[in-house]
Amino acid sequence: MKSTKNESPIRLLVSAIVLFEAITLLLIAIKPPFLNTEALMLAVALPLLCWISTILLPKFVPMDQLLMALTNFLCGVGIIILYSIVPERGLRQALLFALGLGAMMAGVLFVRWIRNWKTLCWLMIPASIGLLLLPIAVGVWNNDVKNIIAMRWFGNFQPSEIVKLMAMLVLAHFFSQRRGIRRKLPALLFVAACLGVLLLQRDLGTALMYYLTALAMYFVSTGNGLISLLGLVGAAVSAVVAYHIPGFAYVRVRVAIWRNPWDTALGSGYQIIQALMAIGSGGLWGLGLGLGLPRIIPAYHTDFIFAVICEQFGLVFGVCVVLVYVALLARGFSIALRARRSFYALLAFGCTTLLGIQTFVIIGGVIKMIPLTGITMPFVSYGGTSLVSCLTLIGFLHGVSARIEADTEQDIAIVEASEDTYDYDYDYDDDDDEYDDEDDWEVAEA
Amino acid sequence: MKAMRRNMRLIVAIVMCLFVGLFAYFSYSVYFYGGRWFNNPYNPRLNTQRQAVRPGTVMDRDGEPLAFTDSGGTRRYARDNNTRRAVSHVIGDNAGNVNGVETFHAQYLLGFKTSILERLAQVFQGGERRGDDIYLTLSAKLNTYISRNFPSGRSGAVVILNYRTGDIYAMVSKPDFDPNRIDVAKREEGGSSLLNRATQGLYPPGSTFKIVTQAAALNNLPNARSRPYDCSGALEVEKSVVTEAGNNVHGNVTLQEAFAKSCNVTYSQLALELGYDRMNTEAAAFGLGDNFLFRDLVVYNSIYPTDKRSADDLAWSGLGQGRVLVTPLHMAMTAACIANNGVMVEPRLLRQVTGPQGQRRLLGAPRPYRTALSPETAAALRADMVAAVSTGSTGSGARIRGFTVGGKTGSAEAADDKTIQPHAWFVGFVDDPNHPLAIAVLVEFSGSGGQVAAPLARRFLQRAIDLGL
Amino acid sequence: MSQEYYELLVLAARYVFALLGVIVVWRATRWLRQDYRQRRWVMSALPDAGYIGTLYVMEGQSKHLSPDDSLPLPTEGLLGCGAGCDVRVLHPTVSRRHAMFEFRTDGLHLRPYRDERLQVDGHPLPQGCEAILNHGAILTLGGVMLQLRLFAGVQAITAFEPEPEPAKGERA
Repeated sequence: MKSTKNESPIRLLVSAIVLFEAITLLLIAIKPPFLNTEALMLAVALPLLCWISTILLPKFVPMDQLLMALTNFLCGVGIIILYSIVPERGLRQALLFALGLGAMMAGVLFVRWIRNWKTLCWLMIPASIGLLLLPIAVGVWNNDVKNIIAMRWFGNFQPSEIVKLMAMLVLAHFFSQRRGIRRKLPALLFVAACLGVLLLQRDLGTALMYYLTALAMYFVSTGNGLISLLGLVGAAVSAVVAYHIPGFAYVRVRVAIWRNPWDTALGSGYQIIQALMAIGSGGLWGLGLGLGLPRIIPAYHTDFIFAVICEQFGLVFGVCVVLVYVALLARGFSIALRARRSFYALLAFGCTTLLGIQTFVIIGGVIKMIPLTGITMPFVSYGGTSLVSCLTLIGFLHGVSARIEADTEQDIAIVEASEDTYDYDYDYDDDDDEYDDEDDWEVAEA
Repeated sequence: MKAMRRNMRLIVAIVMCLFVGLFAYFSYSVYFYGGRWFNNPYNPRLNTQRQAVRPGTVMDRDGEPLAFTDSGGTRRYARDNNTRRAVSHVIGDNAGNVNGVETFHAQYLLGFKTSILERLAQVFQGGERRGDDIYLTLSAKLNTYISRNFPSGRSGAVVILNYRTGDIYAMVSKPDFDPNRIDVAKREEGGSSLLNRATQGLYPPGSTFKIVTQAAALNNLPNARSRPYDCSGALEVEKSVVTEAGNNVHGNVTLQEAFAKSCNVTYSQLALELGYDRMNTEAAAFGLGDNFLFRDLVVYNSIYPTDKRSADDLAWSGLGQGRVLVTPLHMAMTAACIANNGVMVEPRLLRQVTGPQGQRRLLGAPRPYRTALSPETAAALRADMVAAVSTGSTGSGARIRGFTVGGKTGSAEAADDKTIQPHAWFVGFVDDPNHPLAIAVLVEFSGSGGQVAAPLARRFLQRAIDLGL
Repeated sequence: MSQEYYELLVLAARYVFALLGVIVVWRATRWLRQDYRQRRWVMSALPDAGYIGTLYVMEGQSKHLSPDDSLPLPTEGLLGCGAGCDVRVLHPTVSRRHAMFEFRTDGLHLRPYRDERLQVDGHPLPQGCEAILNHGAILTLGGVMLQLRLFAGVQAITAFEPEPEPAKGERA
């Protein structure tokens, strides 16, 4: 019988990614005036890591090959761009990527093997709220947002990213096939609390992301279009209200520079204008890796890294990166649609929607389709906690995919078992089929 | 689970639509605005490139250099003082004070368009890196002539273009400045000389807007041509009274006579009869309200406002007063459109761009921007405009012997104070396939269009014809 | 290597990167398409894939339903006559959404959707209670009597641990 694992060759895809990483890092390494041994090392290590994780690892741990390859590609692009601008950042990102792969492994096994979600979820709720409140107490302001804790040896740590993971699990658990608002209430209150804390930290972008994902998960699990629509309307109304409240001055600033950044070209609009100029400068094919002036774009390593990609690699490549994100989302959604149990389906769906909304919001902000929000690009942006948590989300997706594979194999086993039983016990007397069937069932019941 | 899957599919569809929208917006904005984002004085990459590449030369259509970089690396402009000042707005400068060819086409001048093979050739031959050379459609001689013969001490703009191809032969904005002494210009009068009035100056068109009103009447009112018009010298609207210039009373006139005599009463009556929506449609057909995204230059948008409606506003808008605002270039395009059978061609500034080894860059072919009128209506308007010049009293100053000249004068009131003179306008064309010229002349606060602007137009067009354009 | 030659190399490499990017996207879409097709093949080759058994109609006659019909039963879902239900029991006495079910290690957990009436093995199910059915149990929804028949080998599937429900469970 044909195996259920998708054996279609992923080889060319992986080869392209490996080649890309190797060539770019080699180019960086041989940049005059001297040979950069660190880059050379990376030029070997990164493609090797990619090959191991996409070809070797799935043989031992159940993992989805396409997801692995695409995340490798995106993280690779991020590492390479960061390395070409500031080598220390690139190196740190690479190390965190390796760490993230480990976290992904943990995520896979976590989702694949844990059965009793209930106690875990009840534990996670207070832990998440606590983690979210931490920056308010000991955190530092980052632009207008207070969501980072600076730890001396660890670097910057963003608790909201860890909470993201826990929130996914909690929401998936409480929303899965439970009838009635009463059962869902703990999850809804949890989301409300998270949003409240995020608003206190003035991290509006992340709050929007969480809210939309939770709303989508609610709609999927209950099918109650009316309430979901009300939720959307409520979000829009509160956005308008926030625009007019005096405390939220920076919201007004953001909307103003979205409408016409050229008015404040040297002030608040500087960021988006530099990003647009970078995108325009790249043209179709880019200015070239290492050429161009990526450093003048403010926040080039976090929010505007997409502008840097368009400047150095060009629009064709930039569009390819966005399409890779879309392919990732497509795979995540297809995993969610195939899951057998509502918990896994919701988990996969929530993870994918979260990534999708995050990607859309940040790219939309960079190309001035929507106002900037301060979210970063998953996988590509510089940021340890963000990278690790996004990789863990992918790990959850791997886990759900692994469950589906296991279920499908069980189906085959069942079918073969039935046939076996049938053949084994009753390999003669074809006219007695009906009767024998009944006997078969009674034997099983006993 | 089935219900859950169905809901999931809905959200998936929404998310995918969002991304499709993202792609669409991305493609649209980069295609139309990508060049403007790049060729921007705020873009530091241009300066960095300037240090590595020797910028190319900008020349007029005959090859006369208007801006070049000498061996010492300094950017120099035309040697002749008058020429330098005449083309100052079109050329612009490097520092972002004036957005002219130097900035807007920096991608050519700074060698961003050199292909990798050309770079290879240049590296092997060992020469210095050079940008592309640009040949403009401008005629330096014509610009210099216009600049010298523009009334001294007055501000305004003159645009002459080819109504078949859209090539701009002359674009002069007064007051002008000397690009070698741009700091002085910045300080004087708040930098007013740095403004390119031809493309960035928004003025009320005055009676020249009657071209649009006439077109609207011909298109929408079936007997507009045949019925008689009675001008009593004044028309009372709700809060104001429309009078004629010099308190004339025209009496019974045909439409053509009203056009030639520039009868205010007739046109405000027509505007009231047509109403905002039909006037707006006709104005939009001529390009008012468009977001001009021309390939070669930046032109500010003209507007025909339809908010805050009132009968007075409507009546005056038919006369090109009220809140209607246009740029002189746009008016030249309007005249060009009528001469060109109703097709408005996109204005071009670049005639040719050559790379350092002489290869020609691909520029877009001349293309129509809008079809404003049917050929029949255009022919009718052409006849009206020719009549305004040949028989009428208003445009007679623009007659050129041996050529058929059509046009419309305008005296646009720009202030409530009656002691301040109106802007003098003349827009017109030369109806000759060998000299397909369209012109717009604007002299600020100078009096009647027929007396001030029309004679200037005659001299400038004559000079253009003599130069063979 | 001089600066100029390096720049030329970088400029040439731009096209290579764009090509690689396009290859990545193209292969990814191809993989997704092939995966989709393979999934469809698997689903058609194993018609019982995803199902843990059937609900055998013992009594109940309508335009679309008659005795001896077998309704395939998935792992988790809704039971009723509505279009969104995973097991569609097309009978006038059955509500649009009649019950929710979920298969676990100890059997099929069943609970009414809102306040629908159910009978398990002839005994009416008290309000707010959940029933746990095993192979051979009889379920009555309105005028339809169904018998749960699990596939042989399904009994071996491990699933969630049984959750203590607030209401009492009834063993069938």
